[in-house]
Order: sequence, then C-alpha cells, then structure tokens
Amino acid sequence: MAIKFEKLQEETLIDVAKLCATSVLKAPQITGRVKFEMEILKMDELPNLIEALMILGRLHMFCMLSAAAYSTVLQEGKPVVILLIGASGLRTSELNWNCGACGFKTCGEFNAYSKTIKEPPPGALIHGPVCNWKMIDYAQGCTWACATAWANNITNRIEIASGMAAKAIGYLENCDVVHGLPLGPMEELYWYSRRFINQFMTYDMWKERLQDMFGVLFQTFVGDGRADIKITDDWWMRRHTNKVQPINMEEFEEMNKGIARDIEELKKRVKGGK
Amino acid sequence: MPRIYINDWPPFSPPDQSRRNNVIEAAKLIVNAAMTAPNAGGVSQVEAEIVYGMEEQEQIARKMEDLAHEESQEHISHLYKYEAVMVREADCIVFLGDFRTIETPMDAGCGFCYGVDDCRWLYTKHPSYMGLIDATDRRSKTVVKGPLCGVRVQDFGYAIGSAMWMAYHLMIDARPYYTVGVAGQKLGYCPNSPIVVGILLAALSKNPFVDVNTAYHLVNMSKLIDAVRKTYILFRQSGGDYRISDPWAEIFRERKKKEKKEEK
Repeated sequence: MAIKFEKLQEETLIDVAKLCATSVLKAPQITGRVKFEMEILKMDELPNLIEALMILGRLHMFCMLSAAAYSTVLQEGKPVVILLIGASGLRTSELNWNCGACGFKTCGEFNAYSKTIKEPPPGALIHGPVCNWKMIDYAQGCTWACATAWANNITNRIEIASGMAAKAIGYLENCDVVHGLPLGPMEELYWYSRRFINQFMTYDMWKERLQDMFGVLFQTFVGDGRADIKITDDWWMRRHTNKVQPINMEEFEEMNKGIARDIEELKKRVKGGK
Repeated sequence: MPRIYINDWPPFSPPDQSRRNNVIEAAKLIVNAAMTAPNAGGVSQVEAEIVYGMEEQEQIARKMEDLAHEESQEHISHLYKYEAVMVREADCIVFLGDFRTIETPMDAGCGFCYGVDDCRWLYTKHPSYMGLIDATDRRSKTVVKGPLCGVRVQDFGYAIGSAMWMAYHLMIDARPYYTVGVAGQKLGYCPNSPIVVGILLAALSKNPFVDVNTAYHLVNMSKLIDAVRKTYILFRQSGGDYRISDPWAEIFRERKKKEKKEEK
C-alpha cells in the first residue's frame, strides 16, 4: 500500500535530527573537553516553546521572529522538529592555558568569577561567562549538525532564540548553553528570505525601523547643525528629527521582571505537563 | 597526454609537490566553507590565510618552539613543541581569525562574556569612547587580549567547524589548533583578528595529527629518519670495501679460478 509522504515528514525529520546529533558528537574539538547533551523537540512541544519565545520577544525581537516562524508552520500543518544542542562545563576552565581571551589573567580567576554568576539574568541569551575555547568547540558541534541537515536536504538554521527559550522553560536545564536547530519544514530556505515575517511586519513598520536605526542614510545637510532627516517624499515640507533620547531604565527593569515572572509560570506549567 | 605522477615520498619532491597542490586546492574550498558558515546576522567577521611551503611552515613551527620556551607552564610548553612537529608534517595551513571580537562586538548583552545582560565587561576592559572601542593598543600581557565578544567567538567557532566539515568531506585530514593560531597571529597572519586558530591539513597515508606519542618533539618520523641517516653513515664506515669483502665477489672469483683449472 502506498504511503503518503506527508505522513512521514515528521518521522523523517526526527531521523535527520538523530544524524545531526551524531555529527555534534563527531565534530572536532580543540579542547576535547566539551560534553554535549541533546534533546529532540517534536511538533506537539512547539506551542509551549512559541509561548516562551513570545515572552522573551518582548525584549528581543529575534525571539519574536522565531515565534512567528514556528507559529506559521504549526498553522500550515508542516512538520518541524528542533534538535536542542546543549553543553555543560563551559562555565569553568580546567585547561589552565591562562590565555586571557576571557578577560581574566588566569583560568583560576575566571573560574572564581564564574561561580559568582549563579543564575543568568532574564535578558541574557546564555548562562555565561564561558571559556572562549570551549565555546568554539561547542560551536563546532553546532555547525556540524547544520551541515548534516544541509547534506540531507533539510532546511535549517542554528538559533540562540529557540535554545534559550527551551532552556528557560526547563529543557536541558543543567546545560550552560543551549542552542536550537530547527529542521524543516520541507521547503526551500524557510529560515532565510522569511516569508512569514510579512504577516506582522508591514512595509511601513519596516521603513520606520530603518529610519529610526539608520538615520544617517536620510540625514540632511549637516552644516545646518540639526539632526534633520528626510522621512517623506516631500521632506522639506514636514521636517523630522532623529534626536537621541535616553531609555527609561525603570520601565526597562520592570519589563525584565515581567519576563522573568511569566517565564517562571510557563516553566511550572510545562513541568506539570511533562 | 599530460601525466601527473603523485607519491608522498620523498617530502617536497616533485611527485609529493603534486600531491600537496591538491591539498592547496582543497584548502581554498575549506576557506570557502568557513566564509559561508552560519553567523549572527550574516555580518562578515572572518578572515583567512592559506600558508604552505617548507620555509613558511618552518617559520611557523620555529615560532611555536620559541613560544614553548617563553611559556612558564610545562603542559602548555609541551603543546607548542609537539604541535610544532605537526606543522612541519602538514601539507598546508589555514589560518582563520575573527576581526570583530573586540573592536566591533555584537552589543547584544548576551551574557556570554561576563554572565550579565549587558556588554560592560568588554567596554570596561577595553578603552572606549561613546560606545566605540579603541582597539589600536594591541599590546597584551596574555596570549589573547580579552575579553572578547562572546557572540563573535561563537560565530568564529561556526567558521572553524564549517572549515573542518569541508576538510572531512574532501577526505583531507585536518585539526584546528590553538598553538598554531597563536604563533601565526604573532607572525602577522590574519592581522586584523584578536583571536586566530590554525587548521593543519594533510593528505598522507597516515593522518599526522592523531596517534601522537609523548615527547613528540623528540620522537617523531623526521627524527627517526634523521637518526637512521646519522647512525647508518657511521655504520657504513665500519665495514670492509665491498670490492673485496662482498661474498658474492669472492664466490665469483672462486668460480673463475675453478673454470680456469678445468680448462687446463
């Protein structure tokens, strides 16, 4: 009896995820001391992850982009699995190379400081600080996983976002660093030239962000001594300025606290459901 | 019809050079893999250099040996000495560096470098003005003038890993080295990068970067071959003149004598 391939897609992606995980473990290491730990998230675990990404997205827009990516494939019923690649032991260095890359004179000083960072702040992408050489080895593992997915014709993109969100709600909790490698959907370049972004980022929104961030591109004659920028086609009629303004730090702190609280609640729910 | 004869012995002979040329071609593809590796935001940050040739490799190996003797810690000193041998045995070296690890960090407050959600560690340890890091003072008491931007270091790892992947798929033996990178950086390779890694490449019957014994700087193929050259030359001089002592010559002479007798 013929089997519709659509029904096999998730299973196939899980098979490729296993091969990617195998590559992580086979990847070369400069230090030879990074211990990997991995998990594969299936489709039914995506809703919790999306919720976590949306909470973290209040602070980091790239988490929102990932949330949009996963939401879109869920809505479209297109399978995606995530290989979570975690590693522990990065926050201490027994290498004793004393290379200084971390900013401390010795590995001992680095280790002593590292012990003082018990929990990462909610805005941090990983639980640092990490030994640079071990981080390079960790990254080598990640990129071998990406290459394996690529060699198997599975679109993919190594992400900090899904890794940090997964760790925040309890996956590979004891790892120092967790990155996510989404595998699928089975189409060309889903994670690049991202069609789903159009759903929430209108052209006008994008243009506003461009003008906010790259005012210099629209700057008028600087000899006038004003930070005037050209926003509209008839810019000489309606003048705009790109004044530097301080961020309200109290609001910023409050937002961070809200993120930490909401993530904690979600984590309890996820753990309860496991 | 043109022919390319390949044989890995003797080293640097024309047949061996043909083989090495293949590795140099592979090195170019390996660098491509590093340049197209994943990185945060697709921002260019990796520079590369391909180095090969007896003189060039010897210069790097000697620099590593110099560093071994400047190093106070034995275990690191040994790394430099052992891996200097591998530099000599390699066919080609790829240096990769990340030029954004200090001067143009990601500014994402990621927590990689200091475990906090801002970039204060980088910006307080390096001189900066209005958020612009002045990286013109390249003097450092440590091998790497840290701290480095963690996101950039991660991206650098992706580049190295991708290079390694390509080497693996081209059936080229390869390993990335801290020590080779340090020596290369001090010699001016990847001049814009605060951190450099050296990847040694080889296409030999035996991977020269694995199964390495202790005291490798003293006990290795090159030393053993040299030992044979040194001792056999002396041994040769302790024997008789082959024209006289060769037993087959003696047998020949006896046979000739016998033949003459029989003729008579």
